[in-house]
Amino acid sequence: MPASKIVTLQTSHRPWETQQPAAAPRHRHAAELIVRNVNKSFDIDRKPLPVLQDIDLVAKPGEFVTIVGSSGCGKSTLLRLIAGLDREFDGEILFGGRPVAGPSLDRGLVFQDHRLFPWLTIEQNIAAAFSSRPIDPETKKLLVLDHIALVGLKGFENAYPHQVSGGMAQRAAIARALVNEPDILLLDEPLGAVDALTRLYLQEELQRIWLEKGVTMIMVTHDIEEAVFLGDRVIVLQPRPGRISKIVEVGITQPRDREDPRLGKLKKEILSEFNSTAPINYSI
Amino acid sequence: MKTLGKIALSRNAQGILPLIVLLAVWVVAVRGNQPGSLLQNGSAKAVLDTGIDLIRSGVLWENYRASLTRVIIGFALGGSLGTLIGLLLGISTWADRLFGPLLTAIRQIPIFGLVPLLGLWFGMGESAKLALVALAAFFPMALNTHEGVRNVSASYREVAALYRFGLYHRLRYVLIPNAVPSLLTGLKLGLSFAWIAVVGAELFLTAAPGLGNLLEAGREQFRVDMIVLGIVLVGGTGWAMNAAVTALERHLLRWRPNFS
Repeated sequence: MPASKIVTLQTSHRPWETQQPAAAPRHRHAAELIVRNVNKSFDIDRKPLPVLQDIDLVAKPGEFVTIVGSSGCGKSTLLRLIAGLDREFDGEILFGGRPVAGPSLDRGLVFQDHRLFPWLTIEQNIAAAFSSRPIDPETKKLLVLDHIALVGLKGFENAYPHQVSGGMAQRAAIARALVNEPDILLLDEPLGAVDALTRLYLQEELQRIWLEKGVTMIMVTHDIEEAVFLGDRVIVLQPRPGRISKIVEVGITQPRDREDPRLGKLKKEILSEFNSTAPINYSI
Repeated sequence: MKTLGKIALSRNAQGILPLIVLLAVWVVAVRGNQPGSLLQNGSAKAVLDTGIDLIRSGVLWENYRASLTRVIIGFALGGSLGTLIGLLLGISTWADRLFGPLLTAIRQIPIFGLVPLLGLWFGMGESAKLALVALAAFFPMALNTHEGVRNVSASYREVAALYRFGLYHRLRYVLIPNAVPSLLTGLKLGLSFAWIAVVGAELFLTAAPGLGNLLEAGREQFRVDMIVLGIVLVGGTGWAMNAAVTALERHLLRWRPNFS
């Protein structure tokens, strides 16, 4: 970085200029996510406990990035920072060239637990995502039904969350996160709470939705096979404090064959990253 | 569904059994009683006859309506104010810190302990009775609304933040639905307390038509039948109010696994 003293002096008088670099892409569908030198710690018993250390990460528009790591590596925390739910960190998170200053409908998030409101039907839950946005009722209805169809929940519009399976509730949660047509979808172990068979099926569904919508996705998982099967790039996080130890380019076009021997090789390569450290769940 | 309905019906019917036993004991105990004994004039038949007489003369309805009206007006005042205050304290942590302790402190005072003060402020007539009923309804509604709004889980708060809900949508989609079970508990307790308070107020304060008045008249005239009739009406109405709220609960909480 060729930063001369004069430039630093000039910008220090106008700090707002440093927040929005002129060269950054501004148009909606080319929104790039840049995580630059992010550090985050929690205060436990008044002592700072670092959870994320020097995280640098770029997600190109339309890319599927998976983040794999064992529990306690700060991967959920990282997603919460990107989503804007937690604003206390050091470093920079830019989306579409602008610093993330809070939640935005441009950035969707799916939690591990579906977090649908139990008192609203599937359809009402998805429609609730429009609350902060003026939209005419017809367009809203159309978008909601479109997304219910996208996740394969036609016929369950009027069901309450407790009346459907965990996998179906998670699909509804994905529909809710996508219904505002965000530029990026953040997925925090979305398949962590469903059974193994549903999980394999939902992985393929997620891949289909990604290909259909062309939305950037960042998915956090502790399942290496899932990470290599879905990701264009796999980011390996090591715990305590959470830091990036390896970035793997998968380089196989999607949709992929689960039995592809190249995936198996990548899985082994990533697994060896973990062998020297904390144990990790690498089943399936 | 039909068999389920049958089972539910027979289960409800089980609650009638102790009542029948009680009635039988009553009938047997009163028979062959010495004149002047405690239950003299208090036989089931005497109560029934008195009831019919009082209905015919319109006296019963006059008293019953007076009590019911006081509960409705008192509950409407106290209950709605309680709900509003509870909502405010639930939404605003600032208001909660400021007024929460005061509310908890006042609530510890038994309601009838306030009768002397209310008497001084409102006199011993109608407005004092309404004030007592309103106060009785206020606290359960305020406290339960407060509790229901406050205990929204952090997960739902995050969803609200994620979709940038304003106050209106937070109330509509998160805070109020989350508070409904608690609100219904408040409604049950508030109605029950209001009903207790109205009878108490009618007994303590200046005589005027009301069920409390009927009870008091029975005592003055040594009419056990009138007292028992009054007690049955008070109890029956309380039960009916509770049943009505339970039916409302079944409808409002149909999203819950155990309600549908």
